Amino acid sequence: MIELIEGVRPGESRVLDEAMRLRHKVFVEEKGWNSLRRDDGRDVDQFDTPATVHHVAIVNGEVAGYQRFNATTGPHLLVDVHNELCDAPSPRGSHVWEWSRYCVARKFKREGAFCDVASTMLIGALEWGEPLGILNFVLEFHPVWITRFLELGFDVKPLGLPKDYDGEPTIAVCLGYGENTYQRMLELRGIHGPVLNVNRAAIQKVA
Amino acid sequence: MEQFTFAYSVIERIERATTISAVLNEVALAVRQYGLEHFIVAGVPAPGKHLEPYVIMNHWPRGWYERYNGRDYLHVDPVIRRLRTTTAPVIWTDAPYDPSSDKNGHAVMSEAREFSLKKGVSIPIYTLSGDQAAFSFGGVYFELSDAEQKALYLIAIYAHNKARGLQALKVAPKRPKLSAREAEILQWIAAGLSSADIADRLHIGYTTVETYVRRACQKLDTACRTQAVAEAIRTRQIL
Repeated sequence: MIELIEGVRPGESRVLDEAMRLRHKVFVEEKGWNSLRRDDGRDVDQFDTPATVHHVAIVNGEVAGYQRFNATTGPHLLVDVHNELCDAPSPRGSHVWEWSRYCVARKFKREGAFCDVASTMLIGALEWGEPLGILNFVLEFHPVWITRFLELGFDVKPLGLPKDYDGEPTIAVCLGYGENTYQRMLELRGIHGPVLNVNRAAIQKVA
Repeated sequence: MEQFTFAYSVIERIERATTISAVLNEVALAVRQYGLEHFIVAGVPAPGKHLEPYVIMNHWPRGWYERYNGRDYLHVDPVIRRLRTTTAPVIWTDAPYDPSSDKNGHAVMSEAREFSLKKGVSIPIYTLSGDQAAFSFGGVYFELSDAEQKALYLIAIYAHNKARGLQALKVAPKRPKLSAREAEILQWIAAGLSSADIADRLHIGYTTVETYVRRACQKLDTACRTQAVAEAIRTRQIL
């Protein structure tokens, strides 16, 4: 199940706090993005605001995966920090949201395959965005993901050439999807929706 | 910027292609700009398996492809070895092997030169199922700027996806649709009725029912009526 957290600041939610530890573990300790390193072992940046939408995948009570969404009508990572990834103008508007910090805890990854947590989060992204009229997601990822998203029925439009970031190729893309993409992903996984838990009461506040 | 515009226009043309040879021609035309004559795109088989059935597009020099397969060079090729452990493009001259101890690896690399494959790059591609494919480009020269290499990387990813999709269409048998009567009878089987029950209900003969069932099984390529029902539900021909 994926917990949807919004309207909170970092430090206000226990689940979100654990998710930020996972972000730090994956992006700093595993991928070596040292510019994000913090002494408290949490990855938090200027794009974690009360307007940010966080998805935290929980498996048996443990934080297994994470992804976040920010409106492109305001400041966001691609345009405000990594604009050099864009050779074409990055689309903005209420129907375009930025998808970032997608990650799965090592323990919940399966070697070589598209693991349950990873695919559930993609399903969760559409389950959340489609009813809100979000038609596109801008994001940056390793180009190896292009093939997988195309296979899932997404439209993947490159916004620039891949560039090397800390020795890893990274590309900015704009994702679109069709009316069957959500359903096809559920079928591919052999599960029924919903995968999102929007029960606000489940979110424990620390304070 | 220029290279991005170029790659983008090639990708758009590839997207519009309706045959594998049309994709191949678009790629051939595009990479000629980079002085590259040859390329091949194929799944990377598990150790011990042959390359041939995994080939999606072949624009390799004549003679080299045959020799490579005939001598099973796949399993000693230093570039392939490197590809299995990376997600980033591999420039051939960067694929590590020791010419003094790795005689087979050295044979592949030096014989490739005789077929005008002196330099090149191989791009690893991973599908959802975890299968690996690779797109290799080669020629006498490989003098691409970083931006040109990145454009080639992007073109390879999209061309592989398109060609693989077209190949799947070709390979997947086009199954004929069930007739209304066949679907109706499978629907009754799904509801738990026997052939005799269905015959009674539809006022037709028992052997006629059996004939419809047999024909439905053939169309759905299934061995028995239970499988036929499952397949008809899966393909949404019955509820």
